[in-house]
Amino acid sequence: MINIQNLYKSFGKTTVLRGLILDLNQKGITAILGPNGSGKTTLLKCILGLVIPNDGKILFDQKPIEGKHLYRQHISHVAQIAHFPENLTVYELLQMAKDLRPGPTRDDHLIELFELEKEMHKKMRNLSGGNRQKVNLLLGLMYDNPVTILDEPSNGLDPVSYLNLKKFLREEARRNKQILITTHIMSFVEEMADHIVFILEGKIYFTGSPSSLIEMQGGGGLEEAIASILKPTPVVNNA
Amino acid sequence: MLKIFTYTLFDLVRNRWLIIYTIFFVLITLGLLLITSDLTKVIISLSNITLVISPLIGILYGVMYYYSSSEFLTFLLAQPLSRKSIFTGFFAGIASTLGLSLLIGIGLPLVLYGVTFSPEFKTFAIVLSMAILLSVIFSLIAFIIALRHNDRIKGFGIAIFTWLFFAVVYDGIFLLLLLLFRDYPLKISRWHSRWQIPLILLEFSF
Repeated sequence: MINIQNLYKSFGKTTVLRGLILDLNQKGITAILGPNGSGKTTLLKCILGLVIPNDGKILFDQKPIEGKHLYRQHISHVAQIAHFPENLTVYELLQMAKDLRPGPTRDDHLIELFELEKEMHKKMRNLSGGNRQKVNLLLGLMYDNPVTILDEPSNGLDPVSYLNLKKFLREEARRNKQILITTHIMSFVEEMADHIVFILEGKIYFTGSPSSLIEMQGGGGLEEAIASILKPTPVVNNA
Repeated sequence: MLKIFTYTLFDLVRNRWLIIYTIFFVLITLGLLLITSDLTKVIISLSNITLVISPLIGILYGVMYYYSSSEFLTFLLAQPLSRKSIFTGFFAGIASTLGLSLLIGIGLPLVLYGVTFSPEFKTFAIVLSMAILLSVIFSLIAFIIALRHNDRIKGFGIAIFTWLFFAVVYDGIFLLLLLLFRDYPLKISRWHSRWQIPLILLEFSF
C-alpha cells in the first residue's frame, strides 16, 4: 500500500533520512523502531505529506503523493504532541474535526472507551496531559480508515486507557487494517507488533517479525535484541 | 478554507489577550475623547498610538498564535485538506480578529461619543482603516516569519526587529532623506506624479 523509494531528508546540516527504501504492505501492526533522531517521526511525516523530502518518492496505492492531499482520506493519524485550540471545548473540537472531514465516524465508541464523557464540555486549556492525549486519540482514530499512523500514542495515558488502546488496536489489526506505530516501549512492541521496521541512521536496518529480530541478534528478549543493535562495536586492539 | 477561518475566529474571539487588547483601545479612545473636546487633537493622538501599537500587536500576536498552534496545524495538515486552504483560513482568522478588536476598541467609543455625526468622522474612519490594514499586513509578516523559523526565540527576535525597523528605523531614514534633500527644489516629474499617491500611502501605512 505504501512504497518508499530512496527517500532523503535533511534539516539544515542534519541529514535524517539517507536513501530509505521500504515497502509497507503488511496488514496488522507494524512497529517502527529506532534510537532517538533515527528518522522515525520524519518518515511518518513524509508519508503524511507534512514534511517534503529532498529526494525520493512515496507511493500510496501505487500513486505518488507529492503535491496531493486527497490520499490522506484513507489515513488516520495520531500525532506525538496533542495541542489543540485552547479556548474550544472538547465537544466543539470534535464537531470541528467532523465538519472539516465529513464521513462516518465512531466517536461515540471512542468517547466511551477512553472515558471522555465528563470532559466533553471542558475547554482544552483546562484538561490534564493525559486527557489531552485521549482527545488526541479520539480525533485521530475516529475515522475507519485502512491505514492508521500513531506516533508514540501511549504518552501520558493511565493504565486503564493504555489497556483499552491496546484492545482497540488489536481489534483493528484483526479487521485487516494496516497500523504503523512508533514507540519506545518494548513490552508494547513485544505484545502487539506483527512486524518490525528498525531504522538506524536514516536507513532501514531490519524488517521482519519480532521473533526473527530476536533470533538475528542471538536470542533473549526484544529489549536485549534492540540494545545489542545499538551497542557500539568494541574496537579490537591488536597492539 | 471558510471552515478553518470560522473555527480560528471562534477560538480567537474568546482569547483573553485579544479581549485585553480591545479594552485597551476602548479606554485609550474614551480617555482621549474625555480629556479634550478638540477632535483634531484626538485624531492625531489616536493615529500616533495606532501606528505604533497595532503593528506591534499584529506581529507579536501573529507569531505567538502561530507557534502555539503549530501542533494543531500539524493535525489539520494530516487531514485531506489542501495546504493553501489551511493556511489561508488560519491567516484570515488571525487578521480578522485583530481587525475586529480595533474596530470595536476604537469604533465603539466613537459611536458612544457621537463622533459619527461630526465632520471629523471621515478622518477617524481613515485612521481606523489604516490601523486595521496595518494589523493585517503585520500579521501576514508574522506568519511568514513563523513559517520560516521553527526556533521560537529566533522567530520572536526577528518579529521584534521587523517591527522596530518599520516603526522607528524606516521613519528615521525617511526623515533623514528629507533633511538631506531639503535644499533641493521639489520638481514634479512624470515619474513622480505617477508614483506620488502610492508612495504617500506606503509612507502613511508604515
